[in-house]
Amino acid sequence: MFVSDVLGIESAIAIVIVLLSVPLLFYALSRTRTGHKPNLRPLPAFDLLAGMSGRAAESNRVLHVGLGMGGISGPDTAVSLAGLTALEYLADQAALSESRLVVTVANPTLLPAAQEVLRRAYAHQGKSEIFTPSQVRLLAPDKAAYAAGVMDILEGEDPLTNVTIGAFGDEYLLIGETGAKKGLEQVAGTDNPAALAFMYAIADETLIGEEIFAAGAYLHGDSESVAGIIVQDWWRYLVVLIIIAGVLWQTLL
Amino acid sequence: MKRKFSLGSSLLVVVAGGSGAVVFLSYLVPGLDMIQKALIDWAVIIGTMSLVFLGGLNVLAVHWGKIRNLRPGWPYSLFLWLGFGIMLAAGFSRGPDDELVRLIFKHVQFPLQATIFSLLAFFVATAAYRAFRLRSLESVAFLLVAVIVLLGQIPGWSSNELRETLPWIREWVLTKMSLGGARGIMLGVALGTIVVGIRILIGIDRPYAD
Repeated sequence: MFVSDVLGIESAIAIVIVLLSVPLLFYALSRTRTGHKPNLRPLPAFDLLAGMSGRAAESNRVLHVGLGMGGISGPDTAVSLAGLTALEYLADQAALSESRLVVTVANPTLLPAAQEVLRRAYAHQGKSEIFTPSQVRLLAPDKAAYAAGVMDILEGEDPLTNVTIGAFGDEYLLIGETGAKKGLEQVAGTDNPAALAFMYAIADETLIGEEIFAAGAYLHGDSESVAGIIVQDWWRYLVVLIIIAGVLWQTLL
Repeated sequence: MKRKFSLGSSLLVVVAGGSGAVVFLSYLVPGLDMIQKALIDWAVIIGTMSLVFLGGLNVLAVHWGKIRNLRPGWPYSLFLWLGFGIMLAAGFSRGPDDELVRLIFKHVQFPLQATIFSLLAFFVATAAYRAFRLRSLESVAFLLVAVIVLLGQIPGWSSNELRETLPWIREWVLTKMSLGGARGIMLGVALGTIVVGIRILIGIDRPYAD
């Protein structure tokens, strides 16, 4: 009996991809650890993130990072973790430059994770004394209330930047437009195509779809994240080949 | 950040990786589904408790700080404390399904949600104005596609050719270009999600440990 007979063909394909990804990831990791790192194409969003905390410190203004509606116990876990990776970098930079960082979350499971990221970043820079857990704020688990809360922060706390990477939907329009009216530097990224249209129209730089998962490779440059991107690319090439073959098959035969 | 070895972190990796592996294997091994259900139930319980304790306390602490330091907008924070107290008292004394609790939701919470989201129409207009300024080739394409789709929505063209062609182009843009692009994004996200999941499962990524 085949796995596909028990689970259905879609689940069987997913399981095969997962199982094959493990050795591929170890292989890519062994290559990146021996110095074989690919050239990463420029992503302006990460370049903009790189200088944000410095500019926030110079102007004595707040750096706002919104992690969206997702948490770490549901289908939005991966995209929320991508937001946390970007936050890790920004928190490190904020601690270094002693700029003020405010993080907003909508899902309570993300709250301790974000607080832990900040605590580690400040400890890493030897500045644990200036970290306060209330830098990470749970606004509300409801979309409208979360958007209203972020809008209030953008209007009232004089931020310089508005970084929104995570699970966002229509509510991004309210958040992003408020940021744009205030003239904030805005970087946005999500996996939701509907919200991406708003992000592309409003934000200065947008991370489209899987680009958010490249945050670790671009911002930290560690071998593990680069290896992940390599494996993603291998799978992507295969998917593209299968699509082309499928089109040719349907067209010619 | 450079990773240090510690027994605690290693234990966390084993617990996280082991839990993930069991949930994954339960799709292949029939006998594991009971453990999978228990683990998922635990996750739900932890999530709920984090909302009640961590989340609730965080909201109250942040707004208490505003009230204590009389920061701009502190009366709103006071209002939040009052609302929190009233809902908590009503919920504990009468239960979550009580008519009073339902009334508060129906006449306060839902209208507020609707009010916030009713702003979307106006924000779409200003966002469109911003997006349609011709700054680059992409914004030209953005504008062209938007104009075509808008024109395709209009039913009352006097010319027969326009009445047939524009809706067809609109349909083609929405079902071929737009849907194809969205599917491309979703495929990429799915692959990214799988790789992120595996990195955490095998302990290469440890967002939960030093």
